[in-house]
Amino acid sequence: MRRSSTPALTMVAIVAAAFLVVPLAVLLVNVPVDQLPSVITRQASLEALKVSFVSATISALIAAVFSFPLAWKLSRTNSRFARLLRPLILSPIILPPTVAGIALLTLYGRNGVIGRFLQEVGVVSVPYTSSAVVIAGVFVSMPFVVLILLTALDQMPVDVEEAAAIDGASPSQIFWHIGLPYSAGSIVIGVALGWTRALGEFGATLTFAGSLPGVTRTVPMQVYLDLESTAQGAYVLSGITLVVALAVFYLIRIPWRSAPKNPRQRTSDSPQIP
Amino acid sequence: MRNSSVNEDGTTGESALKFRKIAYASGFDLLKGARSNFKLISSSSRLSCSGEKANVNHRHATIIARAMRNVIALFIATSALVGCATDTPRQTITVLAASSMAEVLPEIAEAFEAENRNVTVQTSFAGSATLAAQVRTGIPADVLITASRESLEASGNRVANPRIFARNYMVLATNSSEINVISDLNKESVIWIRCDESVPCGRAALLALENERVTSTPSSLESDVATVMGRVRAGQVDAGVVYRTNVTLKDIKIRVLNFKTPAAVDLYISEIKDSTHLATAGRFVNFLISSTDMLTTSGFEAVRK
Repeated sequence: MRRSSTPALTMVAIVAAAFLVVPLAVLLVNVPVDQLPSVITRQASLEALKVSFVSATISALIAAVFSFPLAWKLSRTNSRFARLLRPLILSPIILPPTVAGIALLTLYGRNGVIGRFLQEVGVVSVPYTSSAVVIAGVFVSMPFVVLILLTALDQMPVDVEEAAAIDGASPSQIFWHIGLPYSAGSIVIGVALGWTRALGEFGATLTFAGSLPGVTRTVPMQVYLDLESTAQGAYVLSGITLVVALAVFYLIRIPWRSAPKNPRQRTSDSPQIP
Repeated sequence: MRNSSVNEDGTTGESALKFRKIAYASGFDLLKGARSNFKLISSSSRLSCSGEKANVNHRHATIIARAMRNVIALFIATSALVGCATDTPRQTITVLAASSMAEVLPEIAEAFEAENRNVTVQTSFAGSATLAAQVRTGIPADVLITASRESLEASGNRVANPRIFARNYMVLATNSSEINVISDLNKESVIWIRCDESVPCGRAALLALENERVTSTPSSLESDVATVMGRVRAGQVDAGVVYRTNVTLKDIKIRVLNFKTPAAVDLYISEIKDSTHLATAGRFVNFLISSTDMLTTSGFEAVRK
């Protein structure tokens, strides 16, 4: 029999789990099931769901494409510049979302550095458009993806790369044929988490993109507005968001169970160089 | 807000303060003395066993003197603390108010506190629907001010005696030189916003816009008017439909345009039935209703029935 915990430890674990799970369970129970069809088919709800899902997916894909090269370079470069860059890149995670929105505004807003230039060139202003929702989504989700990828890449055994290099592989080949397959599991998890993060983003999107139904009003904004008028709508949309988040987490566990990302699993020794 | 120790009859609370200081000092003395007293008693008991009588007598006298001092200190300490309890009790009343009162309510509260020195007024601002939800779910409060009839009814039965005390008219606030009449909102380059229909300021905005020939759509529908005003102030948009009270004297770069249809929102005020300071709450409500000067300067239309 394996003894890895005491009764006290179990108690604390149960309390911690309950603290997180019980409010969500109560939320699901409180969703007015009889009103479910009418609220979902309400135009406001459908528009909010469309805006959220479409923009979150685009944000997650953009984040995925740009995060992996960034994480790859950061984990491989040992310069002081790279070490200083890491906390800066990861800072949107700890930044209050509204502050992130303000940061985006000062850059892309009408009085902003780039925004002013864009206005003169004749490009329509960025804030209050659906592109703004995507930009805000990328801004808050990319650091998440980078963080997850960094944790995986930092643990990647160096000797495999060295062996490949000795055998004549170019850096580009190492990237595509060794780095990517190794990190595939982490990329999937990172993108999934980044997607849910972009889906739940509220402060940055509200400040930067505004709240226009069908264009920039996301599900969190619709929930916030519903709280002001019809609480039932808020419960239904919240319930839907929760179920979707749970589904994402269960889905990403299925195909990547074999990926060597769990440090507690023992992997075989790397090949010795003769 | 301000914490002053001046009582209603004009006397200051300084004597109470002095008493409290003496009480603390006596208390500390007692504690310090206790340790040395203990050493004195234990050493004298040891010495008496070995028979040094002269020293023991001296020590006995010191112990008795110390004991008397401690008893007197104890007496002063307790009487000072008891004395404090007979001061005029400080009251704190909590006023829940709609966001449109955010500029004028602190001024009214300060004026009320100046006339009622033992009262502190605490204010809390939120959208009317949020306030209604708070009151319905039992938040401890004494006065409620909301900006819509629906939220008043949604507050439940804790609302004692609601009456309208002011009206807030919608205006167009703009920071742009391009906008000189309301129909300028139709211009291609103009970005304008208003509240969403599901909140009172949004419904009033729609009424105000009815007779204006505005065909362009707003770029954002906010959930509260403070956000609308914030965006106009920051220059993120060219114009926003807000309450007249949202434009303060400090907004020197903002111009106000009136609508052809005067659309307004009625403000209701009421005491909360289960308030623990019902009399003071009632006095505050009457004070506020009669502060017509402050209300009018802020942009409201004062209503006195």
